[in-house]
Amino acid sequence: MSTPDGSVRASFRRAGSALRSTASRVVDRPSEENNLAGILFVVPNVVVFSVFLLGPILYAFVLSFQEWNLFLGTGEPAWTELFGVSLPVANYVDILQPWPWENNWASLRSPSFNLWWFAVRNTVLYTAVVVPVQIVGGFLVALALDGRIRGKKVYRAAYFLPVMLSAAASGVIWRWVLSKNGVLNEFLRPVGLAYGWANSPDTALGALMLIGLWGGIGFNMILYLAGLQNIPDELYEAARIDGADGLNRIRHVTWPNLRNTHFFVTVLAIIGTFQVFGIALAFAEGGPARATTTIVVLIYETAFARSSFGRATAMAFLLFAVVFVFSYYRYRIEQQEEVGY
Amino acid sequence: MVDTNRSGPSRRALVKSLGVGTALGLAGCSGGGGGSSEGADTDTTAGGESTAADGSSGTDSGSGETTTLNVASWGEGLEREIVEEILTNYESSKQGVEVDYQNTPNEQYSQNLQTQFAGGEEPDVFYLIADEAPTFMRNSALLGIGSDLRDAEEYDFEDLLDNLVEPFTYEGTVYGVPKDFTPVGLFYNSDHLDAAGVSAPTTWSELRSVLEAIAESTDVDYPMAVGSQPRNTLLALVWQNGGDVLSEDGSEAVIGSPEAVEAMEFLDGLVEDDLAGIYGNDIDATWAPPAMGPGTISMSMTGAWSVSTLEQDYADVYEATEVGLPIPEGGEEATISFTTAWAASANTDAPDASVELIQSLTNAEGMWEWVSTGTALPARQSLLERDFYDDRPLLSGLGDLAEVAHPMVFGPQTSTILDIIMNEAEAVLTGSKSPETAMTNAERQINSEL
Amino acid sequence: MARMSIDEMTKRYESDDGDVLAVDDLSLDIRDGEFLVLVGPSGCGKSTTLRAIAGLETVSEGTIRIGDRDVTDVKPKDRDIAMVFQNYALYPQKTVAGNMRFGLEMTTDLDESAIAGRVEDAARLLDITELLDRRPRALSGGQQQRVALGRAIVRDPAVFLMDEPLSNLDAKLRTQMRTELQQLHDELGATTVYVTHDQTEAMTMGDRIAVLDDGRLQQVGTPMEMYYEPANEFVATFIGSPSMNTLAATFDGDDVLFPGFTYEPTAAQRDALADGLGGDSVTVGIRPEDVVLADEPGPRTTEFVATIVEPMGGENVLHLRHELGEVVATVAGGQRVREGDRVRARFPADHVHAFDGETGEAVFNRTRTDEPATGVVGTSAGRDGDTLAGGSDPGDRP
Repeated sequence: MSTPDGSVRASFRRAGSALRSTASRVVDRPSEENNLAGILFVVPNVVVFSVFLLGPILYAFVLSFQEWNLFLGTGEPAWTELFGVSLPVANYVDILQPWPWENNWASLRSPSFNLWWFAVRNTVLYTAVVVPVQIVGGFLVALALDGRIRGKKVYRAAYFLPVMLSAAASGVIWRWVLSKNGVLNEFLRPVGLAYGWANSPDTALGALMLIGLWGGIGFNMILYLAGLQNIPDELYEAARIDGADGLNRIRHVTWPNLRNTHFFVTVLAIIGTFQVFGIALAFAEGGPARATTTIVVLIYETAFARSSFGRATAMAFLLFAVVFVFSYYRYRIEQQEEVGY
Repeated sequence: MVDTNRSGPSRRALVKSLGVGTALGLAGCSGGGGGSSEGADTDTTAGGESTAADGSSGTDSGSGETTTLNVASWGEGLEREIVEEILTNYESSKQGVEVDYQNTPNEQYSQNLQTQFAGGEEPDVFYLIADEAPTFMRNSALLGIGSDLRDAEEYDFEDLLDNLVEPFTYEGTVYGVPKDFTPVGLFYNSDHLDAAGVSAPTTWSELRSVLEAIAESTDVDYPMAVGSQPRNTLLALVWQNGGDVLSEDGSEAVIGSPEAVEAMEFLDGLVEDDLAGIYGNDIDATWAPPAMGPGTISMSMTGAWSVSTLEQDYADVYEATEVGLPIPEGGEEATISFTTAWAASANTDAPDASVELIQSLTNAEGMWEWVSTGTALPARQSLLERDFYDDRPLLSGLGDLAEVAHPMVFGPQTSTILDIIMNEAEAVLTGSKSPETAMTNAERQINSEL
Repeated sequence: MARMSIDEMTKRYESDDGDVLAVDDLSLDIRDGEFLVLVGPSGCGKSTTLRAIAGLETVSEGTIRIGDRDVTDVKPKDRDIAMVFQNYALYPQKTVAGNMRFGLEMTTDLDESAIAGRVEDAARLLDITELLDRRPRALSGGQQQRVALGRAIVRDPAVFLMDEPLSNLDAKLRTQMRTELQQLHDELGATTVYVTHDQTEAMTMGDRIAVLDDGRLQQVGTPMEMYYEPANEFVATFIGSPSMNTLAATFDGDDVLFPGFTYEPTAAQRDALADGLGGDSVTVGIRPEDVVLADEPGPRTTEFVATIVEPMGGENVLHLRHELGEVVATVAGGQRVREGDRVRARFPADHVHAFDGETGEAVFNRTRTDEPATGVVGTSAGRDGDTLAGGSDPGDRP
């Protein structure tokens, strides 16, 4: 399966189940003599993890402080003067400067000043729209398809279908739908609203959001459907007896009882949207005029079109920092809510 | 690896069927080219007769030390067949040399090549596009081949067009041999011009009035087509108007000059007034033949790569298509050219074999084998002068532009610079920026990269 | 507080392989302040009945009345009922107080202080005042149970509905809560319908018990009636622990013939059999505690082999094998029987039940005694005395 954010989600799930299984193993077998066997079982995973995940990550981290020569296969520390000290952070400084406020926020309005900040702007806009709508939309669709509806399996499959479609395919399909001579305009032309949605810098990001929503709602729907199954019927019945009407039941029973799902869904959605890449690349290659250049598209271009691997890895770590901070605070909020019990 | 494995048998199968014909063709060409490459002739003939399977197995068992040359290029269909054919012939003519061919789609080629270099897994001999050459050369990634080729017998290095060799020259050393090139010219459908009662434009203002006339009196969707990132068009206009991307010494950007802004304004004006439509947006087609072929578009700036498709798929329009190059009043004749070279890695284990292979790929016979498909023009003066072009007006028309055509090469940051300019131009053509803002923005950004 | 009645209620579920009849033509009157236990094996329709009373299920036919009101088509919140669920169904995100007050917030116009007052009163009654600010997850099962009760009490409903509220508790806590629930009922005097599958709970808690099987009401009556005068074989075996022995036999007009054993009925029993039996097959029932070990051979006495002996301390449960089938007998713990021992046992005539072998209907029941126990020195108007006065006989079936 490959979704716009498929790999992230998949690895998230894998990590989750790995954690759980490790935990249960520890609980099940606390005794000394079983440690060796336990270690032996873990070794392949640790080796694979180190060689294929941890190693490259550390390597990339080192790379982010270097001016990397692709052809020589060597890197020189990228020195720069910062606060009067010489530090190997030239990549980071080059990416971040000029700071957006230094040019009167022009880099947030136009890609011509600092592409990083413009890509950040695009990504944040995308996230700010896609995450809430995707979550609420997924929730509402799940709610609608959880009840007794004729043909709900068909609807579920229909909503989930985009998730199974590769990012490249959905990008191409939507380009076809939204382009000036596309399917959508066939319907809009008679009412005089035909427009090059995919080809105008003003609307391309909005179109990208639409694709993100299209792909994301189905995924969240599945998670919410699973979450809904876990809410005991008795709670709804208790609420009915307590006099809560449909909306109040959603507010007092359904929504609060999906707390774990909310957490999972928001973290995945934020990570996914911050890393939006496949659909952006396939849809418009970051264009027109950089309108859909998200952070990861920029990283991709910096690394593979401009061969600036040091700078690209530095960007990747900046992105990582942002995603990490978001996820961490979301987790902290979750923890604080938990403390109330 | 899979590609390589697959290319082996297919190459052999191909040679089985084409072997004799190829051998004859090569012999004929080499005779015509004036060279006396007897050794090559006999070897290839032998290869053709004995089939490649025999030849390669003989090579394998015949010598204790087998040198394997890894060769990479893009190209589908005919281009791939021709490259594979030349490689097979070379392989069978050489004792102890085996060729592993790797074909990568054009869009991924450059990325793939860089990644291979980064991993030390690069091919020995490969296609190298001109605008990427500076980066490779400055990083000592390429094998200097110029002196060997100059000294080579029956090669005639001087025959190669100087302005095509130049992008592959760094500090006096030649690192690549252009396999072909194409200038960009204005292709126009003369039937449409006749219908509008106008003659071929020679100046910008004529071009504009011709487009207006066509828009008026024909039912084309758009009289002209350009890309939203006008890579085939914009810089030609800038040069024609006396502007440039970088200053003479390459130290600073001048793309914000009034001349460049004017060129951008001219192009933008055509788009604004619906005299030019944008590929993939206003027009469904994304390149010239499917746009011009059905007759819904009259003109486009394009090159030799459009010729064979136009000829094969849209014969009527092909007959009516002519090539020209309008320039501003008092401007200079100038246009863009695209060229790709065969180059070799500095780290190759077999520099001699690599040079020899490049030699056979780019000598008159090897080059002609490819360019005689009509998809590109030869990078050799002698080949350009062949009778072949007499009844091919489009190719010869492009050939006439060879002297005023420059590759878009601006030093090691070429791809970044082009990227900046084209993104700014896209903002102009999609209506979100004024030409002046865009070009000065581009200038500032390029300066910060230099 | 109110009386309640169910009149000819039927509940059918539609499913792909035909309709399923969950409740079949059930009629039941519940008196004001009564504690009625609906008991039966799983799938018997008792929960469906309760949920229909609550309004969580619609009924296919019939009417439900609470007080004088027909509530058959009334929404749950307007039925003036409160329900306690098996898994308590507490809102996990709300505090104990929040759980208890939610119903009042939703259905009444009471102001903040009135609501708080009622919550505090209920909490005091249930001794959960100090838990009011906690959330359900931080409570033990017993505490959650009290909160669930509190949530019901706060609303001061006409009828309490309880769906197996004790079955998630461990055995000791269950016994304790059983007592507390009874005390609470005595204190509040609220009409209560209590569903359980556990006949012990039914016997100990119910003012009256309604036994359901397969969607049909088998018998309604006091615990003593259920025990002494079961209307049919099902009720007879369902009530009481260990279960009543039921042994298939034939009646030849004179004697009851088992394989390898002949039971000689009393004259009254013989008449009852002659009148009551549809055919000649009869099922004889005797409770394990009524089987008597005998020193001497005699009438209604035969020999068994003890196959299993389950010592319970105060009593031993013997599994006795005989040609006529296995008979379970409980004897005082002091009487030693070993597995494999040959045992002579008697079926005392006044303790024997007989059921129609075809229909399972009771033909005659054992003699019922109502002697004050030795040691009772004074009598009050307890609930048993009250219900015993009502009396009933096997014909008193709905």
